[in-house]
Amino acid sequence: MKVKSSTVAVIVLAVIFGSIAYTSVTGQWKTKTDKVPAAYTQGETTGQYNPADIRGSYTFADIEKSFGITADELAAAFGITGRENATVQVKEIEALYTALDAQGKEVGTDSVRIFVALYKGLPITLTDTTYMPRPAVEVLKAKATLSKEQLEYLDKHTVEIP
Amino acid sequence: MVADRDTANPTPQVKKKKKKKAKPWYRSAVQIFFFALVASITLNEALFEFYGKSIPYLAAASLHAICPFGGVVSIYEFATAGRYAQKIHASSFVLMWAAFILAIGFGPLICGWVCPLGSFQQWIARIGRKLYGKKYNHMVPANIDKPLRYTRYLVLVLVILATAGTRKLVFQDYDPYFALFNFWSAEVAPTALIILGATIVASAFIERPWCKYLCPYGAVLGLFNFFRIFRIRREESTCIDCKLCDRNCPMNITVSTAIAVRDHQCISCMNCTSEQFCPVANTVDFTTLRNPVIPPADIDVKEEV
Repeated sequence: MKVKSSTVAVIVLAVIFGSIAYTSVTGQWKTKTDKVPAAYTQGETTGQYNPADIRGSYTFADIEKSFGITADELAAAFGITGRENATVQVKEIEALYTALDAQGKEVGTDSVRIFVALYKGLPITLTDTTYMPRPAVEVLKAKATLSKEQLEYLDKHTVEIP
Repeated sequence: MVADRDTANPTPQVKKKKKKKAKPWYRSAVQIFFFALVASITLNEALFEFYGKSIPYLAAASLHAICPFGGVVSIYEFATAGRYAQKIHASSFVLMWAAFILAIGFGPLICGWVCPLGSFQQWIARIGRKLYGKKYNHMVPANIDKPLRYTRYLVLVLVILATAGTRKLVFQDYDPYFALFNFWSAEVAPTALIILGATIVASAFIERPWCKYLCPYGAVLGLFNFFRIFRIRREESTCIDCKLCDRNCPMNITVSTAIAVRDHQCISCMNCTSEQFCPVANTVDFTTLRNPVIPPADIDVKEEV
């Protein structure tokens, strides 16, 4: 059996757009995530949302919905001003702290993940290159139950808002 | 897209058809369509992000959401944690399976017909062909070229391991495809822009340099060349050994000595077929089985346009 280029053209379009059409009907075609983090699958926290799965595209409103930390509190903790707090995307934080990059200090999505995890008392891996703005550290010290190790980590990983 | 290619007269002994025959344009049309579609979707995303407006009837998706390679790098994450790698969505998985279905049947059609970066390199090749003529795409010595062709498998392994280890779309920082459609964005890493620039420059000397040497997705789809259903087959009894198939293969595959092309670099562009550059009808075809033998007296040479 031989195929001509005209047939191949039809096959390419049919398979690609047929797959999109079929999965659109079945609800599997999703070009955006639901902005809901994955849940823990092991340990005491099984079933709870895992802050490690917070993505840069999440807004503060998405985090408020999943973890109950208000958008205003998140904005204050990370030094966001002059914006509608609910619409701020997590990935925008990184741009505010780019001056710290040269020192090997990173304030960004990972900082939000750690902030949310510590605030809610959920397990998370504390990474050495990730830093927290001072207001965020103060919020955590005032509202969260922190272990000695976590307090030491925060003290060593605090930066000022530029 | 094909008018500048090598169309030297194969042999004077065979009779010529008087009627000129235009080469099919279907592949070029499909390539232009997908390039325009991806560019429009990217523009749409930017319009939505910056101005809150979007182009009517066009999906508000990110470039990652419509890239089938995103599905490939998410396989490990999906299998172990039931979720996709950072920035990847279910749509990438759908397109990954669609590409696999096409590849099982017809080989890497995504590379030869759909991938906008592949098309972009191919369009630059027209300049290179004008500048260097027959030397174009034959400038890398074979002893260097041949081992370099396997580099893309190394890139593939590194990308999959790095994505599995970090859950992040590590490849984005090196991806010329992402850079091509987002060059204006702060999201593009300088490394990706440098690689895109190097690909553009190299395309003036080598056809599809990224595809040949470094593309990890091309590496995945290239493996389907070993067991695909439809493949390029050459009929020995009617072949006049003009080597136009070899000279017009963008991936430098030697079709003129093969019965069936099983090269891992074939992109199913069909340039070598009797429908395109092969001057003898029913001699190089995209088929499941070999063609029926035609008596040599009936061989016709198509006149080139």
